[in-house]
Amino acid sequence: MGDRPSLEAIYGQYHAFVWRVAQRLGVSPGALDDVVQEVFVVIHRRRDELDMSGSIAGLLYGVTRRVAGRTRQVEQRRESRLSLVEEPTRPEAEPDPESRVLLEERAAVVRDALDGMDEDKRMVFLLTAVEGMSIPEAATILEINVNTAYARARVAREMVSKAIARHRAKEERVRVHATR
Amino acid sequence: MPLDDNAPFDGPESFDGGDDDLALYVAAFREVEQPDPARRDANWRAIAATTAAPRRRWLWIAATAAAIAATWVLVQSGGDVLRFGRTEDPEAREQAGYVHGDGTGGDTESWSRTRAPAPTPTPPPVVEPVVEAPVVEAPAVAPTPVPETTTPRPRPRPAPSLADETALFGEIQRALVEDQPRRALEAIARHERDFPRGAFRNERVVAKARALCAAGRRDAAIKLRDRFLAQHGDSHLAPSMRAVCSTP
Repeated sequence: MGDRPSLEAIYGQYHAFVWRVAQRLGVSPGALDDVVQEVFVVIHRRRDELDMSGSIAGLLYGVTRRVAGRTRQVEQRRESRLSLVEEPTRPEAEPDPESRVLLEERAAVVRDALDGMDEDKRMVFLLTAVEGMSIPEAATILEINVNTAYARARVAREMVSKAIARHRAKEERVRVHATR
Repeated sequence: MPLDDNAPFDGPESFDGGDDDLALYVAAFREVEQPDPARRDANWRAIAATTAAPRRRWLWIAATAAAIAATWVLVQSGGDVLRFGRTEDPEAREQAGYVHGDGTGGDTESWSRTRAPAPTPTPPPVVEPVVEAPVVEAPAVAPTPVPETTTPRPRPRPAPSLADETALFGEIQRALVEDQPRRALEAIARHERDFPRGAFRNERVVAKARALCAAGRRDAAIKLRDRFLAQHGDSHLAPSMRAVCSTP
């Protein structure tokens, strides 16, 4: 058995990862908490049969993908559902609103670009560029060929880069206009 | 350049090339796309409640088994109390003052304490009131004392723990999710009774307002909502509370 990490430790380390993956898999904000909870509950219930010696992120990705897929199907049939926890709360205004706005804008560029690509590329980009995994690791998790993963990553990266370039150009136009 | 999965792969180095803007924007994305800490904690509480339940069930099963075993021991010793002095030796039985109703010994179920003298070859009628036997003719063999260890001792009920509270709050949440406001209100009442100042007391108020609203008691829900918001308007629960009964 070895020293397998506790559920609490796994949750502490990978909660944001599961949350982001579920979000990028198209889970609605109202169901996001349910999905995150279910993922960790599944990990807990199946801890004796799951191989924890490998990549826990990979394990979580697989479970998240299945739970998210099921949830999306349910969501299509059910319009609203009470969240198991509190409703989404946006962070209160930051003390430095200007830099927060800048961050939000840049994040929105990436988010829109991700939303504009298919799930295959989006997941490769998310796992590698956002979550910091290597391409081979992401390929293993996604159960795809390493070369395919590289190809998808490159295409996704180009799409995001183009979106960034458009945003930069828009920023520049605003700046030039403001200085005139 | 065509955006195609089948585009030729140039090798890892082609992907690892530096792109400051991309790194900047992805860092911003990572910074912004963070789950709210309050939600993260709330999620963990819900998970802990769910995952704690099976353990509690096993504990319950173990406690039940222990109780059954204790009852069995008690019954056994209680039987000994009723049958103290019982022995397989017929003479000893007689000395101990135990006879069967028909004076023959019989099975254990029909043993009765009579303190009567040893039976004669002609048995008395069965209807004879054996309890009338004189006490002064007590048997020579003293009754076996009841072991003190078999006396049941009431144990103080353990104080409810955070795990108990978490489990109960999980029950409230499940009832809400399953659109069972009455069940939720019952669980909330138990939470109010057992954990008046518990860790989830504020969450309980929000849950109660939701349950009341779902149960059709809009006035009570709105009153609770407004009172909560007046006192905890800046709480992380305030947005959830504002949503309670917000639509006509």
